[in-house]
Amino acid sequence: MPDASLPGGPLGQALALGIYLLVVMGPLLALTGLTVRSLLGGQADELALVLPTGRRLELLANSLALSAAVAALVTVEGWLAATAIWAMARSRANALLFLVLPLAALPPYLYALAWFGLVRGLEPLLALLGLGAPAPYGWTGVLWVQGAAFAPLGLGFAWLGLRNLDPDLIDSGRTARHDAAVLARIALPMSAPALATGAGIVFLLSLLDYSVPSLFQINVYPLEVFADYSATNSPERALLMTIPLLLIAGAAAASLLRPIRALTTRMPSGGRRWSSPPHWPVGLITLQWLALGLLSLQALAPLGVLLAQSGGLGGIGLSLASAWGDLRSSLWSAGLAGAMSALVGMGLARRLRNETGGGVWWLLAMAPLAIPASLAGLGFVVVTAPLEGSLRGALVLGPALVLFGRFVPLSALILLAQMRRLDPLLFESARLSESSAWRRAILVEIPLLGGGLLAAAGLVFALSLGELGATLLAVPPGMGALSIRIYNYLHYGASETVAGLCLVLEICVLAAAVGTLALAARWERRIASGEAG
Amino acid sequence: MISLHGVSKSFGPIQAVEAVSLEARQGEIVVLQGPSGGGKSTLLRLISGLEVPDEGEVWLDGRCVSAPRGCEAPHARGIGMVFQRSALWPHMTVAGNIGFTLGRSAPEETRARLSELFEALELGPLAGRYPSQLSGGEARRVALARALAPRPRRLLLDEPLTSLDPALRERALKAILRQVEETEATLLYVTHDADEARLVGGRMVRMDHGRLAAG
Repeated sequence: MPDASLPGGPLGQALALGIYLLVVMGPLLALTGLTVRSLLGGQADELALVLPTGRRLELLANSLALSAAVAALVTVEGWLAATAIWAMARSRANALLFLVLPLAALPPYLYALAWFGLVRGLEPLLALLGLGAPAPYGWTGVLWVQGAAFAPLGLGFAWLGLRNLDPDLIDSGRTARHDAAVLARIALPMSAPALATGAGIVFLLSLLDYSVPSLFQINVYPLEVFADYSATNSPERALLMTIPLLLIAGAAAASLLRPIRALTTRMPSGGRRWSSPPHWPVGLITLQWLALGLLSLQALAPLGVLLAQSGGLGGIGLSLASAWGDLRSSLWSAGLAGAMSALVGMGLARRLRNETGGGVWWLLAMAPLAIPASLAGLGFVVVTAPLEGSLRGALVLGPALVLFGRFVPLSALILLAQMRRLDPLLFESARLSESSAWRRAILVEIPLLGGGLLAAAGLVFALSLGELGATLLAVPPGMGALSIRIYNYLHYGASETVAGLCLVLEICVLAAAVGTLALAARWERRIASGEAG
Repeated sequence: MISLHGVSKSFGPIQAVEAVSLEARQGEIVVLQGPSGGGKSTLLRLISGLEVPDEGEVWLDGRCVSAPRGCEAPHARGIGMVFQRSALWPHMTVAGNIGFTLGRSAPEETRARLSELFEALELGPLAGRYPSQLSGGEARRVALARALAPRPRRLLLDEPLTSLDPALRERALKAILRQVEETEATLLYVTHDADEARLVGGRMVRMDHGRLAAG
């Protein structure tokens, strides 16, 4: 299909791709340039930082082992829970998904605080029983908290894989073989692209996250890079040290291209699922319900703990008053990042849709998934360092730009899936009756893609509110962010104030995620019934 | 033997099957005819256990397998089924699709059965292909082979010869009828085509608006 048959026309698309390259790739290129200049200017011995040896090699191995374990745990748990939901009545399944999936947008450090609080709350009870409280530190703690934080994501991808299955393919297996064999031999391999995508994304998120390991006093490779930068203030060293991580994350992201493409190509059926209840072995049912129970506990317990710790409405009000300026900055940055991601994501999605051959744009579009947040922030610092005078006022846009750069691939994927669901003739017929690309975009194309645009903007907004790694470096002096304030407080131990702030953040993130999900679904229904557009 | 006693099924406001009672003896061939949307496919799905009846019961060989309160698992009913769509598993080859229905048979048995079916339905050269590499007619023959493979006691075939050219159609029908005769299977055969219905033979039953009328 020619480019001009989709929103914005060629000019709009070129503009979107230009902004993407400038904001996402520009800072990295600048950082690379600075590093090369430094190496050529007599710092060649720093090249040795690229090769992790001794302690750094050990840290890299630890990081890899941790992220592989988290990805495996989340994928298995998510798939088992998703198969249980798959067999439920539609209304029950939808209610459960609506309750759990928006939690995927919450930042992992928020889970850490909640679990610390829960362990502390259990101490008196355990003491009464003559048991010691479990130490909420160490590898087990990180595995548990990251597992909890990413569990909704694992469930979401597993659910997507099962939901997209053609029901006739399941039924045709059921008449011949036991439902367990159908699950293992038909449903599992057919939903493999979704599972692989979910596992890969969780692996990357865990690999590049340093917030939870640092709270659990576990040293991992990204934390080492951040610590080195804090000590030396040298972005060149940070880039060189990050290269091994970038190579591993890049390879992981590249291996995701195929399953992601398969996933966005398949139309979600959304049709009937199990018309008669599946007959699964008791062992499998037990595992499914255990996974569902564990996932519900992991996902929902933080909300309860934070509510209990925040000191009621009065406490929340005080926390809010103390961080009002930071919250306002976070809302502004996340809002701008969300809006930009939706608009630029549309151009990027269109480019991905028309991509043939080697898939260079796919690689470029998915690159941010493999870039550590702190490196994205550092790139921004390097690019904006030469700004002087009144131009430095523009730095207030910094957090929004780095957040946009981090999350725009997700919005592009949502919009790509949305474009593939729509009949191309809808766009073609608009071209016949309206010659102006911009009028077509406003009158026909944006309304048709409205559900996807809302979902993309909402997801990026929700993720941006709690983002820490890049925000920490991109925030200019005099400007704050809620995530930074919470993270700073967390290092001094949990308190009523920090619980209140976490609760405010959680409510904002969930309200954004649930609100846009509901709005997008409503928009979709209106489009489907022909009332809109 | 297949017995349906006052079976009804609705989907929201649509009454797909209404108070249907039908009996087919072991080895009997019953041809279901009628307009699209008349409830024929839903009736087959009710017998196979893929749908639970709202009312009535389905009995197989003297035991109740489907009632509103519960259902025996579809795979335990000894049924081979061809759906309206071929519904081949895209990640398995032709041999894999057919072999899956043979379950845990010994490898030699599986091989022997596959080659029998490949010959009967002229599928030999397609054995290693994936569904995306098949034409509509080829996919249809694979779907048919998949249903016949385990030599089921009951065959439910929903327009099984669609997309086949006349010569192939005739040979495939012969293969079906030969197996029905050899295994004394009960055959419920859905078709729109009056000529095909005559070739299949057996008892004609007409179904319209979810109700049965002897043809």
